[in-house]
Amino acid sequence: MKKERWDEENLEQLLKQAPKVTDHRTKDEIFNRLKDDGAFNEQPPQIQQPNQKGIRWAPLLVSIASLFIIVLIGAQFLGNDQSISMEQNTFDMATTESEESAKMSRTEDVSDPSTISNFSLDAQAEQTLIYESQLEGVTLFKIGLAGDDAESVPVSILIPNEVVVDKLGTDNPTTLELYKTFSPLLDEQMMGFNEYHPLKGELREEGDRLIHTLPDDHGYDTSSATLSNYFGSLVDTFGNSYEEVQIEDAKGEVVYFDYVGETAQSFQLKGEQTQYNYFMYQMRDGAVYSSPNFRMTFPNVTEAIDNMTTEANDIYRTVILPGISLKVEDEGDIVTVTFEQALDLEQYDAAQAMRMIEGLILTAASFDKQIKFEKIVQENWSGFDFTKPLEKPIAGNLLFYNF
Amino acid sequence: MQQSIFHRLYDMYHQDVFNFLFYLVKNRTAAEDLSHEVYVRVLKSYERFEGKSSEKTWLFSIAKNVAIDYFRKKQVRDKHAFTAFDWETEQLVSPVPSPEQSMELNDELSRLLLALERCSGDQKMVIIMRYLQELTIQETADILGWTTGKVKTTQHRALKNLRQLLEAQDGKEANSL
Repeated sequence: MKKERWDEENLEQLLKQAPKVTDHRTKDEIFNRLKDDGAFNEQPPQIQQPNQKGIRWAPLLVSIASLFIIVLIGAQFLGNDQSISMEQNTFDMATTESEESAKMSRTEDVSDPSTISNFSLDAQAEQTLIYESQLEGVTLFKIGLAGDDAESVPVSILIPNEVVVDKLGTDNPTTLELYKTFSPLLDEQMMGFNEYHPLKGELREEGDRLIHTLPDDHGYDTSSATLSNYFGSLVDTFGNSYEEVQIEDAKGEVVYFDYVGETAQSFQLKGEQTQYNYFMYQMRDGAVYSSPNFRMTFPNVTEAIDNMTTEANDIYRTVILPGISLKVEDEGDIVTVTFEQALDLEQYDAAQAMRMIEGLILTAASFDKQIKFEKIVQENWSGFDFTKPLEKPIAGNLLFYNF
Repeated sequence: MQQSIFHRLYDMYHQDVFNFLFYLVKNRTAAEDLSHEVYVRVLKSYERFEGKSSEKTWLFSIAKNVAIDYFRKKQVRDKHAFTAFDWETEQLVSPVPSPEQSMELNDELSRLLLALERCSGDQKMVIIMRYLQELTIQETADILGWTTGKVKTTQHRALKNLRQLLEAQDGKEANSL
């Protein structure tokens, strides 16, 4: 066979000759199978209570720690001029009995009835978003941790400035300095994630660029999943601070990733490549996080939000409440989401409602936009003032970790 | 209401969606199951469809998601590991077509479709959409949630990859003679 046989034009012609394959079943057969499966049940879908157990540490101690944190966050969102101080005594309470088990907590855990039975806070859902205005006396540490499905999960930790000064000698370190200091201290397994950090090789910064020198046996390209996790982790960890990562081998040459058969010279951490929408990701221990959906990106925020209402897979679930229809208008720096019917958030599970609101806010923020909600019954809810555009968060999935 | 939606979508798009699913999974029974799942998801979410994209691209978008989930589950079953599935870089490998199915194809097309199995998921998806399904670049971009530029680039890479795979195969056959 001559090589010219497979040129582009011939390939195109050949592909167009592929026969159309038709379904041999009758329309009635297909209809009846759907009917038997209840697909034509016109009842609105039931709201399911998510499994939020995910507690693998001393529940009561964590509850107490969380209670303090809620009070602090609540005060912040209710307009008090009190920042999240992350006072050490909060953590001391949680670490007195079992340091291993109580190093980390997250706000969502308090919605688990088993952990809050003494505190009657179950109707309250807490925000896990972080805003610039909150960074008083604390330093934001963002990191992409390796989830159960070998995809990076973006999480955020607020480290008290005194801890940062104690370890680094400054309260204004670069993101890379922060990463190099604190990532080795994270007990990722205890947090429910896979051990992943610190990244292999050497990281250094040159202005707004990061350079990652990989060792020969880095293993980040053994499969598409490991590569996806690696890139996702770079975005989640360094995306706020650097424009791109240059990836090179020990000789300073371009790295060839075996699995994908491509070379990687530089990897963009900002721009269209990181314009995500946000879905719910549930770890096997029950912990729930807001996450991009397999790093799917969108050219504009309208498409991103529209996709949140239709996209479905087994790993990332939509955060849009069942039976909800919405419209999106993108104007300048603000995207307006209007619910078709007046939305009474109190009619829904508080955690689910919070996930939808946060998922939409994070999606808008991914396009560098604020969001304004229309037709929500409540003017104020869980710290949100829906009468005006909401502040753009700088991070999500707030975790509490005692370094 | 839902029954009338089914009837309308079936009349307009069923055979196209079935063809799309069949070439992705290369298995008639699986394509039947997946087309069933497409209707289930469509009927569940139809009220959210606002007509901003065309009904056709919306339907194919759901079919695409259903197919990706099929390959994701297949990976879990085959590898006994609950690992991530990145459909764009992963190969969407279908079972070998049955002899009955292969007989309908000429030798060159059979080889081409087998080579397509060795392309990455994004390349396979774009080739099927663009040439077997005859969707436009814009429609393909809408379905995949990509820019038209990404569709064009992926299509170009896919054709180049197919050519290299087939030429390499020719070379091996020539050497063995």
